[in-house]
Amino acid sequence: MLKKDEIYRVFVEESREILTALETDLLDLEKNILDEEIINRVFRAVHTLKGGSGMVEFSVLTDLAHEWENVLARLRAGEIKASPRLISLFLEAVDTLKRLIEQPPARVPEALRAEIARTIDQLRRYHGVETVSDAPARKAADGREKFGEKYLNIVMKFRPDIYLAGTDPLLLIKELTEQGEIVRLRCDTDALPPLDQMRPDTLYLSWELVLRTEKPFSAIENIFIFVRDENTILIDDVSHRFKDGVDMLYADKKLGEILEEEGLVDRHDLEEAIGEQKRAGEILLEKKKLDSQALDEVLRRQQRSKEIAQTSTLRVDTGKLDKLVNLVGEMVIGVARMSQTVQSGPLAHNRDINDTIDHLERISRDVQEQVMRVRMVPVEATFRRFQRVVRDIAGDLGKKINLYLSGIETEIDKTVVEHLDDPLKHLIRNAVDHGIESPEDRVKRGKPPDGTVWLRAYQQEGKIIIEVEDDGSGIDRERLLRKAKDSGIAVSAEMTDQELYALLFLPGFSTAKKVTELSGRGVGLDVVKRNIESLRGAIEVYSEKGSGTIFRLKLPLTLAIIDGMRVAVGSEILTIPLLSIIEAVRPSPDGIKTIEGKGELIEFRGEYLPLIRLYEILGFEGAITNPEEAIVIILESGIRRMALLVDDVIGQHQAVIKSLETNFRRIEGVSGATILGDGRVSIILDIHGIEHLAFGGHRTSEVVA
Amino acid sequence: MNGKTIMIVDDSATLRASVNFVLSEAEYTVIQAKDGMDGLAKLRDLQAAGTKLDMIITDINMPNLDGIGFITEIKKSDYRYVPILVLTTESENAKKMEGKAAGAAGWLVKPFKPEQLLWVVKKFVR
Repeated sequence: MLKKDEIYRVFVEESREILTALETDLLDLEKNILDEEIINRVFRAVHTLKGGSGMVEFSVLTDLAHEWENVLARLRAGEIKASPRLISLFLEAVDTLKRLIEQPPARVPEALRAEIARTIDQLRRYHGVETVSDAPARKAADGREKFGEKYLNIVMKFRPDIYLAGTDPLLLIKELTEQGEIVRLRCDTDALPPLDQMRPDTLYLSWELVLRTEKPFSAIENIFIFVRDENTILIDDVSHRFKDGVDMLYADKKLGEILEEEGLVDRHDLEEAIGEQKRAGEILLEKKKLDSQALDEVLRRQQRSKEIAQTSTLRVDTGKLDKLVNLVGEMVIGVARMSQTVQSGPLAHNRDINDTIDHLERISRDVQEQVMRVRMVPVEATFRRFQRVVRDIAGDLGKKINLYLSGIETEIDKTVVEHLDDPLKHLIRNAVDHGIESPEDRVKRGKPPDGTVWLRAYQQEGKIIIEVEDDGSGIDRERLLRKAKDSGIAVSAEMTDQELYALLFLPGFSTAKKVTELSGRGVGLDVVKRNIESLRGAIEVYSEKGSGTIFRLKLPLTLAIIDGMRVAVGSEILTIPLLSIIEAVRPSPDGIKTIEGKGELIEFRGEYLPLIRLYEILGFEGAITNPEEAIVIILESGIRRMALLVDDVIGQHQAVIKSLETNFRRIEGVSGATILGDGRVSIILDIHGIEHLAFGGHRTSEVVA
Repeated sequence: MNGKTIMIVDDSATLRASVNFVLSEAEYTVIQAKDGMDGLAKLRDLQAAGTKLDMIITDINMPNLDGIGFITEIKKSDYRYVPILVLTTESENAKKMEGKAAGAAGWLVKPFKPEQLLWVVKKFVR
């Protein structure tokens, strides 16, 4: 049996999820106040909370949920409507509950108890005092107004003499196509008589179709308003059957049944085919009773349907996953060591052993990949939270801002997602507060009064890109330059946008004209940058004055593995993240210059880059000191390019990162370590740390022309 | 004109005028008749001229020949496949069904707005 605190833990976890989903639903409800589906979901969520809290005897929570449920029951019955005030109250209740579930039930602080009592009090006011004053809205609710995409299965069987009533069924189908997309249409021709018995004024056909529509249910019903009494018109909402636009009904149906239902083959042909004990599809094809395109299409849908139906989920403690990731990492290293040992031993040319090792390497890589994939979660939950953030901040500032999310299904390592919350919140606040102008200013500039913020995620070249874009005022280059000068930072008008924007990430630097309560000074973009860099990511800024700003975060897919370049420095083998490497070159004799105050510079494609002697800053001995005999690695740190002097390049490899912090301590310039095939340890360089070691913290890039 | 012809049969001149106005604006050719008898006479004229008719809109309560009688007669004529719309009021719900039973394709409740009329017409005339 589960222990009591174990049940409680599950309850808290479930409640957290319910509350997060509830918040999203409430925000949606605000936009579609009559959406019965959302209201039902909200009702169920609160009902579940009430039930759960009852089980764990969290009576404070049960009381609140109970009152809330009462109000929701009236909302569901159409007795009250989801006014902005009511939704705000619900959102407050969500906030209160969120804090409540983090408290042990026996020790709920007095202040929180008082807050709950207040919320209950406010909810009680909706128990019949405040009724709907808005009659049309209520009428609409009664009229089964349902918005949002749905799938309707429509059966149309008309009286044979329908033409005599002046109705053409084809026009009705055309009307349906104006209200949505017919995703499936089947015409039943079974009643067609032989040609010589056919009467032109009689209808022998009937139809069954699936319509995907965003129109209210009533709009679809209205199409049949004149025919539904004497004809058979059945409209069913079958949205539950559709998942990602695929009909789940296909999952547990035989191909033959589907083909028959789709009207592609008739029962007789089908039975004959099945009787021959071959695959129905093939036989029907052979017999030319079915064309191959139609068959492929149905097969494809059946397959998709099966796949989706089989996707079920299992909850696993992330601690266990982390352990698994580590163990798999060890295994990959182990296999690599074994391979190397064999290669250098007497069995090097034994084919059986080599085949076995190859196989083992392949499998362990697959296992590793799969385990990594398990750790990936969609960014959806994180992204959705920001709808609330934007709504609240915009409301406080008297702005109206729409947040558009895209790529919410993009998957990213759980650890990365967890650390994205704060940086994204900063960037979004920044966009809402400083980026987007006041409605009056926007109108003056010929923009729509409502601002827009886009939050996007997508994968690109093995990286996850997350963008926060606003259609606000953009970054004012001149003001940025002035501000930098005022702060005593060396800048010049020739600096590129990228170099200038890098200033934004310096601690204590802000271009905001006025300091608002919300963002404070500088909004801590330096903190954002640090957070992103700690995830081995980079941040870029693109902006156009007057039309908006994009902050682009580039993040690795996973934190557990790194694509690295192995380089030799002295007796050490170091790993440099491939993400930041541009090129490796051997310097020419006259390519290196020393400039007073700027140190050594190396020419790379017409540009002079600072040269960093890695052995010097890391204190390694026995390294090659003459650049002409060594190799330089050209790196991009996100702010500037630089050249690292190393002895030699050994090659690329995928390194499983071992944290130094957990085993030793944090060292500047080092992000971790990995174990090489021969068992040696290779230090993984942290490019931003190296940059910091070489240039110090506050220097910005300077241009040498 | 869009080449479609619609007949409006109603004893109220105001109503005929408003239907005429809305439909003419929408480029329909409108033929007006003041009751069932007049309607039948106009139908005979049309037939003689060989004109195609796309829809008939008729009131129920009319002198001489009422709407139900008018529809019954139409169904015996060559115009029996022409969609017929009956005009009713909120209080005479039963009339809708009576009209349907006689062979009307649909109904429109008075008073109606121009867009309601056009919506119904477009359901039957394409």
